[in-house]
Amino acid sequence: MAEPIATLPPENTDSSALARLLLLETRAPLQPGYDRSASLQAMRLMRRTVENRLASPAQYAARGATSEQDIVRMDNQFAGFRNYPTLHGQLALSLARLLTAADAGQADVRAVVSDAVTVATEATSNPSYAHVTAWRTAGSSAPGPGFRFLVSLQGDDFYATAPAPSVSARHRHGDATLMIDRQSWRDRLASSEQLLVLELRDA
Amino acid sequence: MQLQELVNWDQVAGLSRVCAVGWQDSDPATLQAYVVWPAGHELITWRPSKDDPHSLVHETLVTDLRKDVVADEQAVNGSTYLVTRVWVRRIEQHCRSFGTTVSLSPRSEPSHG
Repeated sequence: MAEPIATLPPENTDSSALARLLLLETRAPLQPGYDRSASLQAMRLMRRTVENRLASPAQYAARGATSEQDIVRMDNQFAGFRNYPTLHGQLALSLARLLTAADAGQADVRAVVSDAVTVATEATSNPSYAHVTAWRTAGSSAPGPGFRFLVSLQGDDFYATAPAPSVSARHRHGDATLMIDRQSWRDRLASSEQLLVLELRDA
Repeated sequence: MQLQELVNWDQVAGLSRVCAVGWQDSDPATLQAYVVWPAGHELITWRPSKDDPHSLVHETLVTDLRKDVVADEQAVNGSTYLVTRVWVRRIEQHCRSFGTTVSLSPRSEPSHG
């Protein structure tokens, strides 16, 4: 069945800012490795990232933010969105190309636009990694020393904010932490969220 | 050739050295190339698109080497796009060791959207 034409919400709304951010930050359908299901999951983690930052804005260089739009406009956090709804030149062109392709009936592009609108407007976003607070393009450096790697999806690495462990917890988990650090990034994928939960409980 | 098109696009005068190197981990969705263009002050994370013959100049993952590079991870401070100086040096080194470097001058060619 053909994907219906998805319309982005009006520019001056939170869901609009989110939908545009999701579209521009996730892998495009004809880029290598694109997978619609994984892309949808990545979009939900991105939305949750914005929501989690809004819940503790001062912690994420967003003091005073009261809306999702405020979060995506914060200096140096999301490329090209500082003056939203005006997007940085290359991003505006990229978005225009995507929407033109969707309007022209290109099914896979229409689907990704539809997914972005769905994720930006759905009542609740309930991703597997609910603590997510950052993402980075795979292969780039971490978002900061206070972040813990969670999962890689569609060429983006997602992170949670690492809790500061108590002194006793650091001592107790010292060897385990070292062992985790020695493992490859890939080996950490499955267990990092569980490790976080264990450390919180033990602390 | 998309590297030539990149140099044409920004019209940086004189000869430019551009280095490109591929990168991928075990996940096929991470397939990308780094294009380092010091004269254009850009490091592009290029994810070529099958339907776009101009995907390099259309790429939005562009690190501005004058504005987007910070001293360390502390200064990245949760950003999705700022990168550390160490990371940039590592990519440049990787490119010198394993990549392809070409020298190009801008040509006057018809532009595109």
